[in-house]
Amino acid sequence: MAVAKNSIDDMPVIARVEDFDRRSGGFVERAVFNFRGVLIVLCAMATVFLGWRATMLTVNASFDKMTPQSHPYIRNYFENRDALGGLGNSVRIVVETSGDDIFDPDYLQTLQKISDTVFLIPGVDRPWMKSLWTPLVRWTEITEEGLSAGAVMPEDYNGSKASIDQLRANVYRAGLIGDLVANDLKSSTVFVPLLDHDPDTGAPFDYQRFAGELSKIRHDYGSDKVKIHVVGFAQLAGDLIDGLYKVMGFFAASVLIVLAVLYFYTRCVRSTLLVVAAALVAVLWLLGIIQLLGYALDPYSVLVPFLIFAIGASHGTQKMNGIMQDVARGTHRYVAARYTFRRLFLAGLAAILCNVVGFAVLMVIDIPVIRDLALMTSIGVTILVFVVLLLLPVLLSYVGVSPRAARRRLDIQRREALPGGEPLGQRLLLPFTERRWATLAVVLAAVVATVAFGISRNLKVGDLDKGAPELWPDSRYNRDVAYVNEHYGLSSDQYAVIVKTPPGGCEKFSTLVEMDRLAQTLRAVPGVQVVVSAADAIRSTTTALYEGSPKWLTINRRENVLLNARDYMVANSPDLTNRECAAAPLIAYLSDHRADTLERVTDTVIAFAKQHDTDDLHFLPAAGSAGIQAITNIVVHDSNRTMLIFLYTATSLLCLLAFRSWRAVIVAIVPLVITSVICEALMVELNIGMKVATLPVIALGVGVGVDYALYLLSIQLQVQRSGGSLREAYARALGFTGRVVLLIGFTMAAGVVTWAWSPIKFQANMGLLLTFMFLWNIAGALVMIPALSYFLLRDEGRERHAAAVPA
Amino acid sequence: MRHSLSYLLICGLALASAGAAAANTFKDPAVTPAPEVPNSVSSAPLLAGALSGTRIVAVGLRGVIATSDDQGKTWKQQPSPVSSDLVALSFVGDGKGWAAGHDGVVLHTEDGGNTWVKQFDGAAACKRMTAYYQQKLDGGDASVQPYIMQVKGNCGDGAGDLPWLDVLFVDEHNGYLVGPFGNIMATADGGANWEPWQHRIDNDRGLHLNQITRINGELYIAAEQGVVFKWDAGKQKFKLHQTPYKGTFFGITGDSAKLIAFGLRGTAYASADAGETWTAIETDAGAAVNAAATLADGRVIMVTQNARVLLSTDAQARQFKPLTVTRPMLFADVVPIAPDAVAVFGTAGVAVESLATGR
Repeated sequence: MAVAKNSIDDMPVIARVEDFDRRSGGFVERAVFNFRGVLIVLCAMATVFLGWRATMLTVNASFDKMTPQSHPYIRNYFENRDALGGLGNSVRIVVETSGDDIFDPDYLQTLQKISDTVFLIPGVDRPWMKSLWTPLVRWTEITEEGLSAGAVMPEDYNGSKASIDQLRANVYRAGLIGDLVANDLKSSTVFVPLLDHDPDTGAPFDYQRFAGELSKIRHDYGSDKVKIHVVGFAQLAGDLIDGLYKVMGFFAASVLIVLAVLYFYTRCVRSTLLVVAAALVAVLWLLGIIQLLGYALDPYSVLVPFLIFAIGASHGTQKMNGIMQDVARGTHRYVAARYTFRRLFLAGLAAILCNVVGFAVLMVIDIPVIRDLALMTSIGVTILVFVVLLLLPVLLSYVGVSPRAARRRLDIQRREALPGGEPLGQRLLLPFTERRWATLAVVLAAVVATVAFGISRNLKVGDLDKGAPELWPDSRYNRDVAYVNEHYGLSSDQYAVIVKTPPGGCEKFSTLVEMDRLAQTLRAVPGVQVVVSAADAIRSTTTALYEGSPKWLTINRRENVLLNARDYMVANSPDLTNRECAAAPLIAYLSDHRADTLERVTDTVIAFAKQHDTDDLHFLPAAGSAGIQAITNIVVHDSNRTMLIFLYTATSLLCLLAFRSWRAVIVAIVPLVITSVICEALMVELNIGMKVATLPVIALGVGVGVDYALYLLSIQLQVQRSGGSLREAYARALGFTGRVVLLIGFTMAAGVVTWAWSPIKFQANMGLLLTFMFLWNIAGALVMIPALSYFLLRDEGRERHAAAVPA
Repeated sequence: MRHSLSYLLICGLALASAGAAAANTFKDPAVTPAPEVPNSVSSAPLLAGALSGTRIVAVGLRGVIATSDDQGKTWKQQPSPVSSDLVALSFVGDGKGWAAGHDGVVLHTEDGGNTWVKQFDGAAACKRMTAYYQQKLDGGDASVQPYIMQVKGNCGDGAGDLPWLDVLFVDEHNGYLVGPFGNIMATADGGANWEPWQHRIDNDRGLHLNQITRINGELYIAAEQGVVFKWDAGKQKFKLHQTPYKGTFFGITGDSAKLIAFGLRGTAYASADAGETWTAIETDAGAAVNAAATLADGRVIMVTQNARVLLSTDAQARQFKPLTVTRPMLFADVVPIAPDAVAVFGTAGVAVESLATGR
């Protein structure tokens, strides 16, 4: 690797710009510095243009993008989602009273206002909206004359006791308890089906706007007498978008932390500000390019700017550090900038390429949010090549560093060069190049890795908490979900099987019998609470056709009976089949969405399909929140393995290329593997499951972690190969890049640590784990590289050197 | 990427094998044994119960058959040759019993419900009815013409969609099956052969026949439109008795002193003269009475659609009181199992209710 090819010794101190040979240096250096004005103007124009585009960047929370798009089971869902309307796109607004029950004139008036307000919100599928106040909600009763029916809300309702008693009777005979009215009668529901597209404009449903309307309803009608709970996809999307904005606010905190870290290290205000500004410019470019490419920020990609900022700041600091060293010796800032560029451009490029590899392997994962994350991070890192590797040195050549800070740096270096003046780090770390400490470190690492590996075997796939997995269990949304589950008795973990037939096939006797069989099979699966399907609905509508006799709780063979029953069913529960009667969901309500529960259900469905699918009847997994999660779990589990193989293969190849020694590759990779294993053990201890969000953590951790090894080992090997002992070589490596390693680790950690406070749970999980990876990798590199080198690289360079002498 | 490729390959194979698996053909419930029920059979939907000695036997949805030898405390699922919904049960002693239900299936046991064989089904019934009346017509009996039409209408394409709503055996040889649209058959050889009986009932309207029962030695059938049929031994025919009621009767219960016909909306009519005259009685049920039984002491117990169990205050059965129900559900049948206990059956399975609580 080219890291120290142009060592500082080859670059004479030049105090006056005029004495500097502008034609010296490589082609890139000359192109950049001899036309530095042009570069600055171009970059300024780019910044203005991309900054303008960045202001047009939109945010959204698309759930589709979090699912593995090309998995055949998810394709099943996408191909049939029209038939599954009732599953996703609706919200339930549950209006709770603090009084005895809902049969109270004040409560009913508030409910009416809410119901009327919701009715007018754009995007609501008005004819299908249900509340105690909508005419769609009816009671039916079997009489000697046939069926009699009416709206649940009496037509002459006037708030009097008599009309409320009438309403109460209607609620009971309509069987609304547990459906629109809570089991404890303390709340009732406004069920709001939503349209995918605006019927007038054709514009897609605007989740952000709808969530805004919902929070207005909460604000306008919520009181100490009336509590409002909202559950459903649209509310969840709204909460995620809210979380997204909050996390954007964290960016400022990350910037401040990085500023503090950099200032602490350099004690130079102007260059600290310049470096941070350059990193921010890179982020601005990134946002502009994302917008130009047609992307929006989602809960995953919002994290990319943090990463890019941190990587940019750490590379920028190295530039500043280099210039400071030269300036301290008396070199002019322009010359210092060029020297630094000469020394560090290739090294920085190599390190950035390593990062790109780490991010790029994420592309193998078939989940759009991860692919987008990988793509955006790769773009961002490429931008850093321009902004931090090219533009920043040029800017520094104008601005320079504060002379006082430069002097301080020189003083420290002089002090450290004196005997006994080695910095604390060297004194602590150098013993690891010797037998006793090296053995201790390796044995200890082996023990820790073994224990961690044992723990990591218990790593679960999927999300482990109750409620919507995107948010914290105690978030408002998940508290609302818990309230609704508890008081209405239906779980929000729905696993839907898509029952597919030719058009008209859903009401065939054989289809319904097979659906009934699958429902019955699923009822036997532990974790399945209730199964709902057209088969059950046909049974109960058939009894209704025969005066409610339980002897007709059956699926009749007679076509006209089935047809009648289906008409009746479609009127009552339209979401159990699609219009063409070619697809019908069979919905299992699960007690939880733990991975083993989901796996059992999927296995059962697949085994059933194998036995019962015919040319005209297919049972396809999966839809519903739990169904999609089940498939996502499968993909995450498989992707994790694939990704690790790719990641370590690619990283090892890069290291081999850099070091040309397989022993050095082992020295570089083993600490990373240990960190990965400890990270998995940590996930077990923190009750974090392996999920979409944790996949990038290891890739990012390894991608950034390998930088440390590259910096340290390349210098160590260089010294060893020119005849130095391991101890000397490592001391040199530490002195030259030890601080840089620390600095990268801390700036990266500073960049992501703020996520830990995100209201979006998976972001917090990522923040925590990434911070751990970035920091722990420092310890791994600084301790394990000398210790492993003692065993593997002690004699590196000796034989070559020995062989070279006689020749 | 290699992984993705092998993945695609595997998926392709899976699809191909799914294509191969599509060679499955639909297994008709009338010939498919009942699967084991999830969880406990005592909470599977059960629609009818009967006693075989001291054993309680129950049948229900999806061909489920359950037995209890300890007064309903524990239940065991017994193998059933069909997964059609079973709705009725009749035992005659010596462990001989018959179950009937949808798809026209009739099952028979000789060992108190441990093993069952299918004796008959809807397809066979249609074939038998068509052949029987055609033969009569061919023999010159033009009076059977309406029955030929009726059978044609009821059997449709003959796929066996003719359900039975009740089965009654009065001894080990003689039994009856009744169903919707006036379907009725009888056997004199324990179910080996069934004879169509449409011509032995005054049912021109083709009324649904919901239940058949024997009370005090007489056969009665509960039907729609307030009609009760009673066997007229002299004419060898079921004779129509119109009650003042216009709605549906789901069944009849009673003893030597009384008959009670019950049905929609808690309606019940009593007759003290073996079905000649009927008067309305108050049940206070609030919803359809789906089944009822008369206890040895003459009191009548009823179970309803809205999860209520009602017991008459005395043998006159003029007044009913609700019992505390341990497992509320849509009830379908009630069987007295002891002087002070009944087994109740319904959509949530079976429960034993004590009669002591209602007094």
